[in-house]
Amino acid sequence: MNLSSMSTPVPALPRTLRLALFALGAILGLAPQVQAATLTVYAAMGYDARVARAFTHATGIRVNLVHLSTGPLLARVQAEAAHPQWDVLWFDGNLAMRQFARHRQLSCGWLPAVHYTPQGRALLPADRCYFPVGVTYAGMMLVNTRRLPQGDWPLQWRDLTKPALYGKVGMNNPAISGPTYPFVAGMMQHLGLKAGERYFERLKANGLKIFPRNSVTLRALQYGQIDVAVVQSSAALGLATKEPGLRVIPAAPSAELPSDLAIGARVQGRTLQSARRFVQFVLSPAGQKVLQEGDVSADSNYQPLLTGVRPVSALAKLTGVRPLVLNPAQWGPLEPKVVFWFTVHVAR
Amino acid sequence: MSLVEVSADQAQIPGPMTQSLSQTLRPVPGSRRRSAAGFAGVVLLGAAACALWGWPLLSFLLGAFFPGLLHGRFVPSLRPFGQALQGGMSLALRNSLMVSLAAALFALPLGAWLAWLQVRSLVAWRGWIEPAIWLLLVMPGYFLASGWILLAAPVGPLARWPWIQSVAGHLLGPVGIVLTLMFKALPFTFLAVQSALTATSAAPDEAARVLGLSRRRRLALAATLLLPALAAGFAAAFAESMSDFAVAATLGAGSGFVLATYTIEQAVNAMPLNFPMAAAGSWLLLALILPALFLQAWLARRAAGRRSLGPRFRPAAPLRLGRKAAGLHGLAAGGLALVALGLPLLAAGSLARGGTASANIGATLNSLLPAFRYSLELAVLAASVTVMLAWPIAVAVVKRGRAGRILDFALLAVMALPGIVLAAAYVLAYNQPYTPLYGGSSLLAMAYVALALPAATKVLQGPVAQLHQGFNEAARVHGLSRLQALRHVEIPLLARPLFSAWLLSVLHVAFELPASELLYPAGRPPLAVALLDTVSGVQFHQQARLQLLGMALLLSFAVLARAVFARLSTRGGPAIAPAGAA
Repeated sequence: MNLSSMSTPVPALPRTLRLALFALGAILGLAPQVQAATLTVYAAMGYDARVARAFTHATGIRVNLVHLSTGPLLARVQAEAAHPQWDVLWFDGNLAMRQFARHRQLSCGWLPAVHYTPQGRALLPADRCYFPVGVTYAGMMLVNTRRLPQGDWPLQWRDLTKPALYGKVGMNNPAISGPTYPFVAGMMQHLGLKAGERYFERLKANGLKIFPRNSVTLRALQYGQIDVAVVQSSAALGLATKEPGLRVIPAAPSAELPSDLAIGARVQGRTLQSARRFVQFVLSPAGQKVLQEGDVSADSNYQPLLTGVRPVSALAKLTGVRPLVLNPAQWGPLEPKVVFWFTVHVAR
Repeated sequence: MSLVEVSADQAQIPGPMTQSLSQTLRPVPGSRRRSAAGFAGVVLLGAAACALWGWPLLSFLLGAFFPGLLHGRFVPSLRPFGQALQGGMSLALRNSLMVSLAAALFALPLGAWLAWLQVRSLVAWRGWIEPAIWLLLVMPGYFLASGWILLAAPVGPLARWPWIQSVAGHLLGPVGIVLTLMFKALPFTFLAVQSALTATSAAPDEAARVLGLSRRRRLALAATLLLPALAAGFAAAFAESMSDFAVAATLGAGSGFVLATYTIEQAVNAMPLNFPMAAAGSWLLLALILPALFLQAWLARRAAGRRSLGPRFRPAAPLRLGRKAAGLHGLAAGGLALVALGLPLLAAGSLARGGTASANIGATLNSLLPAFRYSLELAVLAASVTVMLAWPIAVAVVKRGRAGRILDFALLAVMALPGIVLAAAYVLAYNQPYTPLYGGSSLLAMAYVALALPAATKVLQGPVAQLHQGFNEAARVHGLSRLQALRHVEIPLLARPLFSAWLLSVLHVAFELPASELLYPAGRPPLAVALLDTVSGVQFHQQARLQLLGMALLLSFAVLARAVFARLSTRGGPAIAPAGAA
């Protein structure tokens, strides 16, 4: 410990070190700047980042995007109820949207200037609190035909409880994967509440495996941890297009799952105008093009709800679908109860 | 987890000169001003502790007993505990307990063996052991977990050998979880045993030889002497594994093997949202972790008291191993390094080159650089604040006054706290109309400071204890003010440990996952969140590229920061080095 050493002159940095420092500064400096908050969009769509970029490019309005899985996104919105941070919400599932509308968290009454198809008009709520963008199906069976003999392929939902499929079926956790709750609710609407519960208990008894979300369930299918994945139709189609050994089986009925956009109730003034322009952009032909090209391995595989917009070619694989329409006013309020039941009796 | 401990005689170096100076120097003019400044410092530290830990944790954890607390209802109820146990917490706790015990049990002999090789053997490559251990310490758990996922991927490096690939598939469940947790716990067992071996005198072994004890009896004697260190290492490894979230969120969630930290996260980050249930789950988890950590702290203190460092201390002579034995040890250590560090990196490296690599590198960089930049900015800020707070706290703890003992206890309790619990507490406490910090970078930075502070304080405790009080008194005799003494005496002498604590905090914060996951502001995902997004997907090539780039960028920053520090610090540097870093 030498006090005099403190007066030693500080040596100059060598050239290589200065260059390295300069390079680091350049990397950090050249990194795209995170934009100042103008329009905050909370979204759970695979193409949302591309849409946000295209929107900024088209309008000059900057977007702060929070991309999360649907479950965590809904939880975040719920946690922020007292102090919401978002301007626009965008995710799959009108049941949760109905709940937010019921709690007066959404701005209602405005309608974008677009032409919906009859299916789109049927999904548009009377109070205009949210706007349907496209439709997928909540539960679709994706079978690994290379591992499962054809005789064991499930064709109906009840086939998943057969002993031949013991431990070979996987699905998402509705607490985390937003699109899975409509599947569970759809089965309960189709079979009746108690019979629906018994159906899932039978699935559990048959070794049903629960994964957090579509991507993890599909990874389990690829790794051979399961042979049948029950996932959202868009994700099933995306992987089936990429992997030749996989086959999509649309068992009847299939719960319709609209993706919806909504604007926050507290959004006002210029931000409200920007939010409406965002909704309008997503529902425009230019926006729909970005949606259909933005996430071909999953969310781009949706059924459009606007006249003049053709579905992507992968949707041709979905033949014989028998859609089931859920009533948001009935199943929205039941979500916490049903999800908790599922957690206690099936997921754990 | 006390990585750095100082023995009693290191902490207090007695000397007649010090005593006489102390007697001569009081009271001096301006002492009242100094005591007022000291009081203000204590108040400021207290306020910081309250904002960082006290208020959020109290409001969150009390929710387990008063579920209506948020809504102003003070009706006690144990319902959240019932809900937590019903909602899968009991199974998750059992799973966590099993894998943590297994990880700690495996990590203990491996850590002890590596520590013995490093301290007591003369193998040529022993100098590589400690850097590898530190690399393992700073490498985030989700990197290792993701390495196993990539290794077993259908397009991964083992795709050509299906039977090996199917064996590797087992790494995606409990086996991989135990293995990853074991590697993450290995540094804790290594450091505990290394510290004990360094401080153990040769005398007991020499006495045993003189008395003609057999080799087996001598080994038993050595093991008995090391028992407190082994127990402390085991407890630290167990607590670390129980608190882990990264492995729980990747390998655990991906295989359906639910762990306790993940269940707590689900209660505050999935539907339906249930803060009281998360609080109840946190209590149950803490009930398992805290006893282990207090046992570890007690054993470490006991071991420190027994150490024989001092004028009569003679370290045991290092052992020169025979060629065959050295070769076997080398083979085993190389194999361990290959599995722990090599395989995950090789798997990522092999997949990073696949796909349409060159076309996607630009896209990869575009998605990673903003996250890297944001994480680095926050990490540098949070680490700087952490070190500024850790230093006075370390001084207070070393003085062993009442405040020091309370702080020491509080730090230990906070170290036991899983990051996810603190993050959940922040969401609840700082999303109120009167504390609207949630959703901003400042809250995330606060969480980073709260999580990094205990470890940084522990790193500084040793060097601060070694700083002789006589230097300050000599400075005062020479007419230096407190600030001048700080600038010309303490900062130069502590520069190296301060920098080490800062760099450790930067790396810890930049890779931090649970708080980042719950608290990141709109549109600004930190590095860990951006990386984890790819881990849970099926885009293997992109995942591998992002991970390697993220790791390379941060390690480059660490190397650069060290080089700059080495050039800017005085030649030769201060004579004080962190205890245990030798």
